[in-house]
Amino acid sequence: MYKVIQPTTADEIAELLRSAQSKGTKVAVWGGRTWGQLLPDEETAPDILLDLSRMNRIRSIEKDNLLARVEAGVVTAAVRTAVAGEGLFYPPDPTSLETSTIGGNIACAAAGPHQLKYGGTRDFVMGLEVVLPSGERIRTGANTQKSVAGYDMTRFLIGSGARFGLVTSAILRLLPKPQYREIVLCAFLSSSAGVSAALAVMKNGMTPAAMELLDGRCLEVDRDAWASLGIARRSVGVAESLLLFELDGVEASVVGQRAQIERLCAQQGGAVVVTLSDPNTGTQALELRRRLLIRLMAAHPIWAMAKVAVAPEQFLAAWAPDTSPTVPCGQGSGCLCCFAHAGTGVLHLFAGTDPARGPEEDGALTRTRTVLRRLQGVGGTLLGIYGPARHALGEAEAIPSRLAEALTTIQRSFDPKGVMLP
Amino acid sequence: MKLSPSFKQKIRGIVVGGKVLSEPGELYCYSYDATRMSFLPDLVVEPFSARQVADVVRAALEEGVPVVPRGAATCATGGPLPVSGGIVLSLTLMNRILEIDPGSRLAVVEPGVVNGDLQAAVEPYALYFPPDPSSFRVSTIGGNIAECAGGPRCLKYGVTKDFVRGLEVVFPDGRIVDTGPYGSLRWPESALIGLVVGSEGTLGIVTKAYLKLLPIPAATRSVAATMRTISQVGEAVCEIFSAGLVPAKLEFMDGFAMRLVDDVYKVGLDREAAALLLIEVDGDPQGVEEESAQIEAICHKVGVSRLQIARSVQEAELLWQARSMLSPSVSRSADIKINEDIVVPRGRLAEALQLIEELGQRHHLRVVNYGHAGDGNLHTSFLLDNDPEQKRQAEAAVSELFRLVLRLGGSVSGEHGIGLTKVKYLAWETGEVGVTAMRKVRDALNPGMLMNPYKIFMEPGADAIQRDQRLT
Repeated sequence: MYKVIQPTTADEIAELLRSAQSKGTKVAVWGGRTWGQLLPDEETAPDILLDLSRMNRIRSIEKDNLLARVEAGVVTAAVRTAVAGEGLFYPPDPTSLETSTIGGNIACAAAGPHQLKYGGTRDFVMGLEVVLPSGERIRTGANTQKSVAGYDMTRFLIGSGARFGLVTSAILRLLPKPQYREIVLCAFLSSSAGVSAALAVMKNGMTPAAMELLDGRCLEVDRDAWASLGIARRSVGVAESLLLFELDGVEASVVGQRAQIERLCAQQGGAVVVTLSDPNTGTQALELRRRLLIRLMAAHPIWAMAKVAVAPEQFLAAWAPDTSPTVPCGQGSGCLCCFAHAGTGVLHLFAGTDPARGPEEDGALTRTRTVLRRLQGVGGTLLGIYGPARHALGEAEAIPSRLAEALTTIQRSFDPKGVMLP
Repeated sequence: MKLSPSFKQKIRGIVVGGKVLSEPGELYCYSYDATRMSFLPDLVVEPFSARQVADVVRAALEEGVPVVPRGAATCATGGPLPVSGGIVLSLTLMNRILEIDPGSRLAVVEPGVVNGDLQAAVEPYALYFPPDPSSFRVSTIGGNIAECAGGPRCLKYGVTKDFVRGLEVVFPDGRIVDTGPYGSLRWPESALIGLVVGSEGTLGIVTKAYLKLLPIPAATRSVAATMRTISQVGEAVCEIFSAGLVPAKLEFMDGFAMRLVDDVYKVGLDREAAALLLIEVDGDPQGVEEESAQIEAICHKVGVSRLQIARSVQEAELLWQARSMLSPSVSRSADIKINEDIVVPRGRLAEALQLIEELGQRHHLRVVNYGHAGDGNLHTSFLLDNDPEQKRQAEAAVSELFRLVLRLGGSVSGEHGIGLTKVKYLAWETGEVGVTAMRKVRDALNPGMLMNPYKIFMEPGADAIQRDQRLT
């Protein structure tokens, strides 16, 4: 059984790691525990679990320098709210932002819908304070967006978990808060219509702040909430889809973008466009999108999800006829639903399985495997697989051996005793 | 360093279809970069493929021969200089654009593709590659990646590292890793990409780059604001951001720079001004109209002495020509120009300019400042006569400049890298602990330091080694 420690300062952590090096104690780190929801704990059990939730101060927000200095345990939503109060904007919006921490976002290189126009955590972290596995403390990066002084250790560490050290605080890049923001929802009679509309938007040279594609089965899990925003499914069993646009800029620009989107969506017959210019309903729509995965997981206790990067033009491969179930999702049976960051080409295939069936007979898993193969056949790359049933979807792609060796060598030089669990 | 005939023969056997140069005149052509320092290589190799690059690197490793990658050598810090001899490996023959995928806003290119040629190739698709260093007509994508090049557009769009979606890299041991076009989305490929971009050729040689493109904005508008005091520059930048606007470009030049440009080109710049601010907004036409109007109002509020607005591409070119005339005007006005590339947090820009002016006065040197006001990235040039006393003062002034910059919370290199010329200053910024951490990475990927040696890090015996190879 491991011991949970909640440090409040980086010095405490440094002391702990120094001691761990000398004793060979295994150390794991947890932030908002959001990632833990997606990955069951299969790692070697740690001796110590460092919980950084008490290191949650926003040390400063420097408006003139467009940056914020925050401790790793601060919840991402808290940062967004705090900087918004100063007329500033922290764009990275992982869907877990209400509970995940900046430190966790950094460890996983988290990104959300804003990656289309702005990018993710990787693009908005300028510098880090890190405790190395040896207990030494270093700073990486700079107080400025532009800096090429030696290696970009910041980008090296982002996404690397705790392998090379533990991030205790970060210098976040901020932008001025856009003057105006609007959410536009477009509902389509088919999945292919939604995909076509998304492609048309990109082809027209537009870059919305976010463009999220949800298929009809995703809408099922929050049917009433979507309906209250004006999105009702015509009939159960028909494959429908939704594009959620976030538009920002000066008001004239947003109005112009909205008009273009309405025009392009109207080209898909039967499309319904709902503009949410009221900040409250706009926020509701964003929250619905954010809680999608939680709702799907709640409806399907045994689930698996594949995250795939593929050229947006190939999205239709995910919505071929054989992915349409005859039974709606959320009713305890096998279900495959897809949602995507439509402009960047990141597609999620969520398979909610029938607990009564094994992985080989389960319809949802079988269909998901088929779709995955099809996507990989057209150049798609598997970014990750998650969930209790993930092994039924196959193996994550192997890391090139030279790269794995290089990382192991670097890891060994930073952490000779191997105390840091990834 | 003498290379054995059998080694040279081996290299020639590898680089079929490429070039291997060994005549002294030829070697001389690959000895220099924009610092005007030059060191003689022992062999120049121009491979044709990633396979050839890998095989040359492996053969050199076995023989203990350094390999120094080279693009167009516009580097301002000595990055491509073969300071301990060995092989200069030029990537300029690998200059094919392999793929343009407009649906994915992706270009796949070889490292020798010139930045400007890439821009021209993707323009018919209404796409562009935002990083626009001033060397874009000449510099290569490989070089842009090695230095994480910037440029004026990066205020709004980011720098080279934000546009690298994937890389194919030849490691210093000759093995190749190709991350594919989604490398930046996946760990550990993203960590490798993060390291290689800006690593100045010391961790690997890029043989293919998967680059993110953006749609060419439908409209642009440029504004030139002449200011009577330096503090107005800071005020204007602050007000623009406070209003919630992010221009595509926010460039400035100080009064001295304006007078130098006007001396040479006679374009009617205000010779009494303290600064010129050049602002460009881009986006959809309605948005651009609105943003430009807001910026004009801000400039009037801050109290500019003159405001010029360009409403067409031709008018914009006229406005911006002062910026492009800057470097040649500055070079022409002194025997020696020492140009330093520094960054300070943007809120401290006006303070930095004030302190730099005082620094110049203390050392009796002429100083001109210009650069990217929006992100605090300054190019500070000391102008000297060919005079030993001034040179001594300049050396001291440069050190003081870096100390000043670091005190303000800035960085000793905004865009130009550390290379050879700034190795002394790296530890000033990162501390010894930071340098040690970076060295661990270098030693893991480039043990024996054979790939681009003596760059970024101070090494014992560096001065002695360089003396043997140095020409100028």
